[in-house]
Amino acid sequence: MSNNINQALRETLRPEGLEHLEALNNLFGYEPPSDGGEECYWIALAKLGSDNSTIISSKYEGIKIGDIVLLFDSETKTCSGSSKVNSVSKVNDQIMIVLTKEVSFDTPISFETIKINSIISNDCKKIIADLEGSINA
Amino acid sequence: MPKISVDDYNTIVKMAKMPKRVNVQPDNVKGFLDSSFVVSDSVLGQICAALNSGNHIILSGPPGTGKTTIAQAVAMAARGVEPIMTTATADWTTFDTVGGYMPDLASSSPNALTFETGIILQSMIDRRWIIVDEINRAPIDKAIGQLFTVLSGGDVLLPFRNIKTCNRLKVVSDNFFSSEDVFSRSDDWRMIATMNEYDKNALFDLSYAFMRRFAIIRIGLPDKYDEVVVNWATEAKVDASIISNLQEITASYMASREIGPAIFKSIIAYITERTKMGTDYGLYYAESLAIYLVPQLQGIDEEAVHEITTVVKKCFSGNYDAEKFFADNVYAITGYRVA
Repeated sequence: MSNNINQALRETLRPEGLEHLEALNNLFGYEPPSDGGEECYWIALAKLGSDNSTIISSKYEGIKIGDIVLLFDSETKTCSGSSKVNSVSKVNDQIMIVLTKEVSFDTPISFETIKINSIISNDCKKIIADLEGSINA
Repeated sequence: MPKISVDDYNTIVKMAKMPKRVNVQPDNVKGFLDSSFVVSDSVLGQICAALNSGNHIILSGPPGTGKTTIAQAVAMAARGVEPIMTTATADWTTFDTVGGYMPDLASSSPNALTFETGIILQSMIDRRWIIVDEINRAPIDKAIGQLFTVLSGGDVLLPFRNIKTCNRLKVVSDNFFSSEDVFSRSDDWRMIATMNEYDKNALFDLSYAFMRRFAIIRIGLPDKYDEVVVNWATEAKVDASIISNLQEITASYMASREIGPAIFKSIIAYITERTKMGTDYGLYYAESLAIYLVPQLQGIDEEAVHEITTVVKKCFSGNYDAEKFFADNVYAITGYRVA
């Protein structure tokens, strides 16, 4: 039974986002699988919590355990590595994401680096510009 | 939190984890070369040592020796990222290499300008190596401009400002990433240029100031050159009389002018394709020589032309069309009539 649900989650519900998974949780008391699915890659602009591993986001966008996040520090606008999503939970209207550092960069990468680097796609540059605009606004 | 593509994620991680010093070895380079590609270990050793010791390099040599192919393989082996490829031209200026002001298409104002980076400066920003083919086709002192200083590890202030920040743009030699006002030339950035040595007198001279910033490595002909050509032809199942003629040509031609194996590889590939269309092997051979070999005869003396054509004609064995086709092409290129 558990395997069937796993399969169903992977094939149909996962892209729909966390709310569906939570509904399933309530129904079956079932924890979403943390591995075996396709991981997604995210860029975040935030300040880590005092535990140095937690960020709070106001939007549900389908982030799940096992996904990878490039976290840019909102003060320095630099990213010193990539992290794996360890857990995702809802707190009131916000979502709390606990990260574990996976890859450490020798030289932190800044927003500006990405914006002027021709190897990076225009889509990614636009995302960065939007994020930057959101903190400058 | 926005989602990015796997490719962008991998690119960002790759950029951030690029090594800060060059450590490329001949065996790594071979991994990026086709198994049929011939280059001596000694040449690869020279290239790797020059790059590892901090030099940019110019690969000089006869046409068809694989200078560009070697440059690409070395860059891939060293960085794991595709190098930026470009060909120098006679009208290169600092606008092409460093950059200049261009209309800002992203701005709502029709008169807005923005600084657009040139290809060499962009390669520094991207921390990708740049391969400049036929470097002596450009008036290089004029074209490289302020980057002269950067090539030898110095910092330079560019005669441009960032329109948004009003800060003067500068290029610095450090290992940080570039920002909008400060472009970094990291220690592991290299320029590899190629130069056909038969063109070097006909095109722009490279100044001593420019050459001082480069290690100039000659890519000569590989060892056992004629054996290599015969092996390729045999593998391609080329007619035995043509193979033996090609072998004779390599010997007689090389006495007058060195040309690289790539020319003969092209001849063999052409014959292979052409013989699928008919059976006039003598004419097809004449065509292949006229297309690939005869253009290289330009500028050699009459005696040498006659020596080579005498060898070639042996293979036509009375095929009038082939002889005429070959003779007409030799005359058009060299101005000498084949007897």
